[in-house]
Amino acid sequence: MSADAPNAPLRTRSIGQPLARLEGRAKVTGAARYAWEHDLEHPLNVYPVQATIARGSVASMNVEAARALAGVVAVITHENAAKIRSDEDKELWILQSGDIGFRGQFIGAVIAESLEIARHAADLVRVQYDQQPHDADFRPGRDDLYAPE
Amino acid sequence: MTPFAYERAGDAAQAVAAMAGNPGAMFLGGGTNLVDHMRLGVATPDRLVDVTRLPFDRIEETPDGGVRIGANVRNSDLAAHPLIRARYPVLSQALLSGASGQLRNMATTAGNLLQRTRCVYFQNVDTPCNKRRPGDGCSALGGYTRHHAILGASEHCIAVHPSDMAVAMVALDATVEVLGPSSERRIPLVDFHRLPGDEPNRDTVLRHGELITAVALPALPFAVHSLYRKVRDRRSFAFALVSVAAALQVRDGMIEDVRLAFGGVAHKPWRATRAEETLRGQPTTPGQFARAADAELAAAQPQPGNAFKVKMLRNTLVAALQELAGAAA
Amino acid sequence: MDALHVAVNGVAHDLEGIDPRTTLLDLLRERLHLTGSKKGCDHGQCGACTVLVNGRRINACLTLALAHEGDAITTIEGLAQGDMLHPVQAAFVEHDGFQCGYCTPGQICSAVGMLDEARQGRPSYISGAAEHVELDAAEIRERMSGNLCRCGAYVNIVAAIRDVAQQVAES
Repeated sequence: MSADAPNAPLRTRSIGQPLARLEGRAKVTGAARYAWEHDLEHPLNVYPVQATIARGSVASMNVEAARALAGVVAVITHENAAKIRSDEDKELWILQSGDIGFRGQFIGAVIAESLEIARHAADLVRVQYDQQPHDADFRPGRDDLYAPE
Repeated sequence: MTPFAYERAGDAAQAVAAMAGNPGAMFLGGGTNLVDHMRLGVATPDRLVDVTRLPFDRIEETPDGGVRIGANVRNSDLAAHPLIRARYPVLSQALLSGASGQLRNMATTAGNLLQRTRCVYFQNVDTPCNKRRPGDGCSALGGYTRHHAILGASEHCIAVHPSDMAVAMVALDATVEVLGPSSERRIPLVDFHRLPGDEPNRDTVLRHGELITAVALPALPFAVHSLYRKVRDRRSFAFALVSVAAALQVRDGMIEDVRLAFGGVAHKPWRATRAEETLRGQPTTPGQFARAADAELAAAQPQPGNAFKVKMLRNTLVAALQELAGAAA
Repeated sequence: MDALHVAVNGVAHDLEGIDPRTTLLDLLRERLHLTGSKKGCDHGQCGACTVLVNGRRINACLTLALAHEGDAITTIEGLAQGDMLHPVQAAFVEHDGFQCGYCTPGQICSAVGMLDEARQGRPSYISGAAEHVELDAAEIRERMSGNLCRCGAYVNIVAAIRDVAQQVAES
């Protein structure tokens, strides 16, 4: 059987061969840049305010102490955040309403001149909640279980 | 993290003086627990006094054949020291079983004793906690209790002390040397940490402004036959569900002397005196080991989420003693 | 706001106006623009922030910058000598000890520190009584347990470190 016949074994040069990753050197020397690791002039830092209840809504948020902290540029909540046109992608649907779907959900953000100030200011935001009971207990015997199709 | 002033202590007297009259100040050692708790909002000092450059970094033999360990000795250095490895292997093993290589290089002896519980409710400022603020209630009771106490707890707090080193040191009858504004004192380690009672906010008997300078271990020749056995959810880098520090002196199949302490099960390292009494002068049989465990665990009051710890601790104690007795045979 | 004198990768820095809350990690990344050390958890649990201080591996996220007056810090950026990779770096490339690479600087710095600890004969929990440290896979995993890899490259990480350990043993 000649090498060009239909059933001849495939001769490979790169497939199946061990390769050093092209970006390998950059990654092992700390030179590879991730996310925001690019030189910026005067970057601002953001720290989130997160829901401490699992279900319900924000009744009110007091951001005065946070905003008053030296070095804080802005405090964003659903009351002043930009409106997103479509709610098709819920991953992007942040700060659009006071509804809380899970504990830890971002319900606000502090923008400040340093990480430490942003974090401290986030701690100063006072949130009142309308808390609803949550049910995260997956167990047999629940009356709302069903077999997926 | 709330803002704070940072200063480095030049000498011990200066460090202690910096604390006096400043209730919001705290000593800083390796920072592996304190810096984390400051970031979580659990600790809010307005001043940190860094004591790591004070000359408490030696491990020295004492005239009675024991050892004095400086408060600033790093956990990894203590674990690797030839004197400790040879004479108190339980202590070396306990240290090596804790945390990670990086954390062991940072953590100090004193800091290890003073570290606080990792109870998830204590560490989360959004869940009520009597240890953070007496009277707020205990969120662990009726909650997630896998890592909580089965001995010595109270209705106010069921948290567990997380240190492995302290468990070994309690078994070895360690003494804590403390410098205060006007005096020095020596506190038996077994009395240093408290049970929660109705003051769970107080982990130790240390007064504000007192600085640990050293931990002393008395000579204990049979401690060369000792070990630390730790049971946890992961093979490494996890806190104990239960742990046992044990030293055993055996002659002709009979127990001449024993030291036992438990970790992962109480607000303080638990010196198992009832188990020790049950063992002294008795033969080294599994049945006797089990009786000793039962004697100590008769007082156990587990939570729904940690009832497994009773049997687990019993099994761990029996296994630890069997290993030591087997090595002695 | 405080002052700090510290050496990083052999370069002396005289810094002023440091917020005491600044961790060593944030000092390296934000102030000195050495972004090789990574922030993975900020709680000392993942090891992505591992650097060497006076030759010893630590988690930079749990230590305050101001606590390091006069110290010599080595970060991932300081391991290579010009074009020549450190043996651990070269081994990670050869054994493909990474995927996304985010944990990699911390893994490498931790491995450098760990290999030195083993060379000094320092014991581990699983081999405490042994006179001599033998870096087999189990020993490497135990000593590297403070470094997590979410991509799961552990098998190749261990192979890379084992390779260097064997080179060291043979030399």
